[in-house]
Amino acid sequence: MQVYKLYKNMLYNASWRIFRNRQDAEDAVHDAFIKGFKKIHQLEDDANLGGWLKRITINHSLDIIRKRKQIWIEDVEIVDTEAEEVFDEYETISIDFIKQCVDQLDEKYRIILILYLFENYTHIEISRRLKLKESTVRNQYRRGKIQLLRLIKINTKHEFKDLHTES
Amino acid sequence: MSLKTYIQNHSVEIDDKKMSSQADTIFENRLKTELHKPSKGKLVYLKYISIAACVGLLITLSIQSINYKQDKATLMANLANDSAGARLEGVYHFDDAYTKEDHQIIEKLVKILHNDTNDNVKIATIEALLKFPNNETIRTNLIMALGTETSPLVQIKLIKSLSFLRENRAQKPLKDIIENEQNIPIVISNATLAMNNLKH
Repeated sequence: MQVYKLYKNMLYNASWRIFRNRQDAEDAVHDAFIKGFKKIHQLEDDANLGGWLKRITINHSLDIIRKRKQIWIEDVEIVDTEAEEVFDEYETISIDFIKQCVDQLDEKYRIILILYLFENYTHIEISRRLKLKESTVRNQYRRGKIQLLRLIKINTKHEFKDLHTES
Repeated sequence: MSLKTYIQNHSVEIDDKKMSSQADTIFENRLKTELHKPSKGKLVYLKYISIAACVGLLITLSIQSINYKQDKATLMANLANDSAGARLEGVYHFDDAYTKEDHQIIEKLVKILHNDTNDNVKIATIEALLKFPNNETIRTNLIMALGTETSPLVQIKLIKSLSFLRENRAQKPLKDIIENEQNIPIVISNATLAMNNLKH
């Protein structure tokens, strides 16, 4: 139970970002701990236990949503000619604000962006996990990021406007 | 700074949600039921091992049974052979290799004890029969043989064997041997000694 208490919230947050509901996230974390404890002999001595358990949790959560077909990403190559929007004013906005904007993304973009930006998965890892072509993942990530930056800009303006109206 | 770098730099602030305390209780119960019971995989594995072990045991027992039958057939054939050497070989093999009583073989050896014409075969048979000192058939037949045996060498072997077995029922044939003047002195002296042993 000591290991559980140490890592439960970290794993819960990772799973929650994928499911966005308490029950599924808690169930996935429990499953992941049980899986991890059963396979603990596979963990190398110098490996990071927390990171290893987190990977199990995320992969298990992804398997669940894939089985439920909660995300459906078309596995076709799209030649994206739209120029990527640039936004580098992160210092002026909070991380919570970015999380809120990510939650507003289309589901097909949201999962890929979460895995890449928050969980530090590579495009290849995401493609293997979601059983998609790497090019599809790259395209979806690019489109998702553009959508996210637009949302950040729009929401920032609203926030700014609300702030001034209140004052 | 890229968006990814910015998020990674704020990784501590990202994880702001906490699991419910109810979830902890549920997990504790799951741990007890799932990790402390043998897994289905292990059960299947054990099942296959058990089956393999049973099959192995059956094969071993069958082979042992076949070997025993073959060995016994050869032994019985030797005991029934006209050649004294073959009969001796059979008796010695029984003495060396058989640790359990076998009714058929003992019956055959008892017949040899009473009827064989060769003293060496009879003496070897008495020695082999002593492997099972608690067998009543053997004890009774050794006493009977002492009453009918006329060969001095076999008589002495029987006297010493019944003395060793502390068989009190042997006193009657021993008394007959002692009183029979036709017996040679060494047989009479052995019988007298055995009689004294049994009386004390």
